[in-house]
Amino acid sequence: MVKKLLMGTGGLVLALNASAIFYPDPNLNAGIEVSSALLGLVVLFFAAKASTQQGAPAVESAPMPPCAPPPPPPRAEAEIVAFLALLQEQGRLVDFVKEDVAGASDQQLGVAARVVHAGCRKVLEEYFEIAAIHTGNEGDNVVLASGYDAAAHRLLGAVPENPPYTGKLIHPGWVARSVKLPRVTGTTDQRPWPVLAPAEVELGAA
Amino acid sequence: MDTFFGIDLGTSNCAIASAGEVGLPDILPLTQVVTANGIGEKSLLPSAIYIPAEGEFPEGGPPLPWKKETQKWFSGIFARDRGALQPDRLIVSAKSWLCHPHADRRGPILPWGSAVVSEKWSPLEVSHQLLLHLLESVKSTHPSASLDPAHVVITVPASFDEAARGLTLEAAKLAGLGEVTLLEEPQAAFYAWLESHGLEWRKQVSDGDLILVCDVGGGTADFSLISVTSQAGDLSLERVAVGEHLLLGGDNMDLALAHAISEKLTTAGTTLDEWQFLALVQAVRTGKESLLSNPNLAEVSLAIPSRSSRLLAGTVSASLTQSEVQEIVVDGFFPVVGQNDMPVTRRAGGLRESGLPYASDAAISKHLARFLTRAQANRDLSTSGTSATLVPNAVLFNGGIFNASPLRKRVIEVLSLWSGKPARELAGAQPDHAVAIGAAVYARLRRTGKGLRIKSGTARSYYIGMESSGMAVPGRRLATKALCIAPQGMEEGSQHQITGQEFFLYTGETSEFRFFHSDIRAIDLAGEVLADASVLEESAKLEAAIPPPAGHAAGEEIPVRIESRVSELGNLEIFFVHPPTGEKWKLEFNVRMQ
Repeated sequence: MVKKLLMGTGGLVLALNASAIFYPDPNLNAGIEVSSALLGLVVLFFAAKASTQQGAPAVESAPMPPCAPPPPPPRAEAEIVAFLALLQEQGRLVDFVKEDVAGASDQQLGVAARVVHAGCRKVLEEYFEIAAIHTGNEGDNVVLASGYDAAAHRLLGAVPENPPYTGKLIHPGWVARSVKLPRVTGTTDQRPWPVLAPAEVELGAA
Repeated sequence: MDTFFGIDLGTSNCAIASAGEVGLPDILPLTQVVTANGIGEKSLLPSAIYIPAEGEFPEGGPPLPWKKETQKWFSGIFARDRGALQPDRLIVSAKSWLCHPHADRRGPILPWGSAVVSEKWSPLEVSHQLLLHLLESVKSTHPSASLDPAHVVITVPASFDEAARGLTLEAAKLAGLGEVTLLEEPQAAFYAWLESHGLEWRKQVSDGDLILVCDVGGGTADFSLISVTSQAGDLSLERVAVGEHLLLGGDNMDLALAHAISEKLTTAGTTLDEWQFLALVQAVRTGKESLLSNPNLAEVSLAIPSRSSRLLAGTVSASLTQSEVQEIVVDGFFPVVGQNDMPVTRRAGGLRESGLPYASDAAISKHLARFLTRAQANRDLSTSGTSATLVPNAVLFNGGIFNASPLRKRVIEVLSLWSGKPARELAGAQPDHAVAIGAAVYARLRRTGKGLRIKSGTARSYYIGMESSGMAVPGRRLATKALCIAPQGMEEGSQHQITGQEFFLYTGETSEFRFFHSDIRAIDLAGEVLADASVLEESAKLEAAIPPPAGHAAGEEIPVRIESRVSELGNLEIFFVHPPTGEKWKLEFNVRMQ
């Protein structure tokens, strides 16, 4: 059910997510900007999961036909929690977002944001192939002819009834070209989702 | 259509490539446990085994598709990451133990020094299980694949001795692969380069070139020299020298940088714990790559989180500067030195901690100088009179660190300085997957005969120790003599019979023999006796079980002759032959400790 809904709105979520990155607020500091971008990426993940094929592992081109039996698809929530666990493990995303940043200095936030940026970037590079929808620069003139990919574009300003549309590229957009996330294992009825981050106990330190 | 496979059974990572009858090979995806909750496909399988505690995974951990029973251990990415903080439960660098002459390579010794693991592993078992993982993964993603051993090539370091090669073959048999072919890693990198250039490669090399294959991986460095000669207008290639096993690589560079930053932080009043240090190593690795790829970048900021959930309060800030990377990595590991500047071997203490024999001098350029000096000494023995300095004029780089152009440039600079002529880099190398790809190319080439082969006989000469027969003189120990049984340069399918020398063997029991080798004695011929074996390097012992031949009683002494041959698969085999009956016994390497 959740998945079906996502599939229908995937394009919209993607566009909203992209627009979130340049939400105009002059008072935003660096740390908050990064955190909002990262939250946006989690949303992007929803969209990507819904719009790509599930099942057989992504196998690079090989001379033999790959025909691994597709494992039974785990529940969508379990996959999403597992992805969040990856962002937490590599990029401490949950730690970062769960902290109260109201009293923190920009310096503190900036240092922590480096950890989040490096780790989340690593996860995105490892498991997704993300490309810009438009290869041009922001500010370039763009012409959208009739039949343009409407789901991959969001038109701002006074939109005439019919294309072609001429305008300025404000944000080139992002699209996930491939997703190679780990296949979630080990969920049970008692624990339908993976643990986000295990509690850590150092032995002998008590 | 036939499929050929090349397996890179690396010290830090494994990879497998497959090739059809034509075209470039592909790297196959390897299914493995990647996190505590999931499995996935990656092009590399880290050569790591993690042995969890009894109750660590009550539900068994993420199951691999081909494993039906509960997993008692993990291999690959999850094993490496999970074990990083549990070194007592992690096996890494098992391959370096496989060629450690003083370790019991069939004995349960790994994880080395661990007191918490109840069932330890032998280096042989690690190779066996890693191979098995690669094969099962290929079978599960490509069920139609047939792994005919005649189509499979496994790579080994050029510096692997015969015992380590034998153990690798044994691991392949245990994994169900049968009799496979071995190929030296630097040669594999060269085959990959040749294949990726098609006929264009002839534009980059010419008659008289001497090519250095400079392969620096995560934990090891391996050098080989390949000479190019023109015969009747056709270029031919010959591997003329291989280096010694060197435990020094990219991981050393990251550790050196991390220690430098950690000391800076300590001076400033911040002490990192063990976990933070590991996070720092990761951070300097990325920082180093950024700085090396962009010389205009003055410094990068590093953020080292603490283990606590409080990221804001616990994260330590540090910086890594361009000059630190230049000083520690470029000048520290690749200093501009003279050709006679040999690596320092530190034996001042007299007592060394047991464990792997890591190189004590980090200067890779000095190890390169030593390699070339030894190769030259060896060549001068075989070709009396020529004295032209042996310095390569072209380099093929392999290994991830050489993605950084300042390091490639420095090696070229040093070689140009030594020869007084500009050296050049062979363009278009793919430092990450070349070994597996080259192995698949070689597997195809062996089968189809199509393509250029690198001529490469045995890189070393081999000897059996003989106790001198002489009168006992008090206070003087008689030297062990050495009989050369296999000279350098023996090619596949060739053999030698040692005539004029007879040995007497006791029958009915296993006899043991000391076994030596040298990579700098091109002059020794089969049958030659050296007065003192101490000029050679001793390897694993050889042993033969001799049942009494027909007509002889157990315990009787029988005369035997020695025969050596290099099989079609490139393995050195040594036999005792009893001439009157024609019976033959193969000598095996004994790598157990006594």
